[in-house]
Amino acid sequence: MDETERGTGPERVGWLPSKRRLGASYLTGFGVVLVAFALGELVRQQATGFDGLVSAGAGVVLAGALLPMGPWLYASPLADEHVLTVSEAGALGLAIPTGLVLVAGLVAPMEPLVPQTGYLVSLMAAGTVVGSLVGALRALRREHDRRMDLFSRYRHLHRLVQHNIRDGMTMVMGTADLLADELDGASEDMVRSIRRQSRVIADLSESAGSLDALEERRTVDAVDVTTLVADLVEGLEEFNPDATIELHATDTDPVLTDDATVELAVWHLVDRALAADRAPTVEIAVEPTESGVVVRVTDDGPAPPAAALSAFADGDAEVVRDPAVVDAWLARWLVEEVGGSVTVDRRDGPKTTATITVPDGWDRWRGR
Amino acid sequence: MTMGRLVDVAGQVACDCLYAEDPVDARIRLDEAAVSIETDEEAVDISLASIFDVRLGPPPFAIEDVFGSTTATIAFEGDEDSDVVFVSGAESSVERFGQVLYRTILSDSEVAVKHPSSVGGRVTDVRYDIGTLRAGSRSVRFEGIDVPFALDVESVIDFSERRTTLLGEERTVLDLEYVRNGTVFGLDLAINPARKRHVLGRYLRLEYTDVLQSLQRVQLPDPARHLLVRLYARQGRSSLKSVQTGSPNATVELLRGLHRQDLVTPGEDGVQLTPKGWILVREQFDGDPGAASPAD
Repeated sequence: MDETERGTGPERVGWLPSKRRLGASYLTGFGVVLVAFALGELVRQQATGFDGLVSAGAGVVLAGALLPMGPWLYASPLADEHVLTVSEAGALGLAIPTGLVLVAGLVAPMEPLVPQTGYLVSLMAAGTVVGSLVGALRALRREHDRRMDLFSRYRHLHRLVQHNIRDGMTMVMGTADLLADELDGASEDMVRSIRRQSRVIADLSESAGSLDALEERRTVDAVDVTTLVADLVEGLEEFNPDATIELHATDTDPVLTDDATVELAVWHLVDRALAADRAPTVEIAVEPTESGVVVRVTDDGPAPPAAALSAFADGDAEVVRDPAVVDAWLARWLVEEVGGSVTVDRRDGPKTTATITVPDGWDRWRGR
Repeated sequence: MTMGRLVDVAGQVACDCLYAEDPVDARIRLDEAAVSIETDEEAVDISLASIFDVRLGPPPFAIEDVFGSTTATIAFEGDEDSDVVFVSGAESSVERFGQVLYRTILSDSEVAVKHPSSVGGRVTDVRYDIGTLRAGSRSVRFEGIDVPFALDVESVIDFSERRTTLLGEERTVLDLEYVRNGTVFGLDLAINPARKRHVLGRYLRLEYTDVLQSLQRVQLPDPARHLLVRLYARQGRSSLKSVQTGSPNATVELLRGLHRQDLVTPGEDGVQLTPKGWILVREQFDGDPGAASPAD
């Protein structure tokens, strides 16, 4: 996680340490003091019997829980001020019960005092732990809300941009169509290339919308991948009259998975192959494997750039810059949700093969 | 087009100009200048220049019993007053007579066109251009303008008239929208002489009126409606994935169903609305703001 994402401020402001450091150190420091105090009490209570040992022992355990809390907070994704708030909540958790006990002790003095010191240490440690936990939950909640706000703003902006790109590109493509009909030769070719590129942009702006599918809950059922792919191919052929789609399907046993996710992932790969060329030949093979099914989608269109392919192989989504592999990325993200994987290779001469592996959910249950 | 007789049909005619109360048998001939009607007793020439409206369709209610399913109704300026002639006969010959009459009246007219006045709902800043109209078989072509173009009458999905100042003159302009590869294009059009406006309007609406009537009976299930709305929100053309509702196979199956009903068609971008599909979404979903939000 990088520094900006964690909301980390400067380590020191003038001579003051940062809020993050201050909050984390406070909890760790307090944990150390309480552990020492509780250990001392444990030793002292050895003579006083079972009650004393239990109370001091509980104190050691509770105070011990504070020790990792400081480093955890320091490394957590929480913003600096939230880290400080957590330690403040811990302090409040310490102060309230301890204060109440002290007041009660003053109002009605109790005898004997010796075993109660063990309880007091446990109470202080418990108060701090509970306070910090409540504080941490609240801070996480606030952080979550902030991110959800940010996410929904991104989403609105994305929809706005998507909508405008789509409408703008419709105008560009429509006007290019009109011109292309009345032109010929080089001018026509130029207009057609405007047309084609506009389509790439319009499609690209739409593809991000497919991520919505990742949010949906998955239901697992026995899925016949061969039939699923065959149905999809039959429908896609009707809407891609220029393409040749060949299906080589071996009968496969049903696998336990989410059918909608697998369908969509396969669709992305077939779409990628169909978009590779003007009149592409796409071969689709469905084969059983030891632990599920593989679907191979091969096209004879121009190769995606080598850099895009190697970035895809490395799983480096940061460098997705080529529209040619966006669909493959979407397919990968989808199928990973059901434990599958996607690879894209350029091994088979002038052909590109995208392979999607769908594991059988049963095998995961059986621990294979 | 060669000079001389263009169409010669036999049929029934009803017209005040024939001084007969009931429809009578007649020969109807059309040449470049006039429609000639010849009965046993009378012969009348209607100059094409006097015709201000032609309608092709079912006969008026009053003569429904006598006339067949298709009747050509021609309105023209008579000697004293405007007059109407109804021509009926074998459906194919009346249809042909009507088509040729439209083309003869409209062809070579001077037109002022603003095209495209809008593309995919976005208004352009294109200006009016003066050119010539050529009417073909169920199509019109505009020539002599910077970017000539043609449109089929079946692609027209909206039609209205509007008064506006054009080239310094108060004119009635036809505003129409037509579909090409799924995208809606706007066209503003004025014809000279102005009396041809009705004829042109009728010709361009030949298909639109029929489709509009046939769509009254179309009832679509919700998923199909959603899919059409998504396509509508994408200005009529889209990749298949972008209009997805439900699972991919369900989407593709719905699209195939809509294709069979001629509401969508495969296109360069994946799938596109047909003119019929456009008329349907406009009729059924317009004015329902929730139905076609950009978020869809």
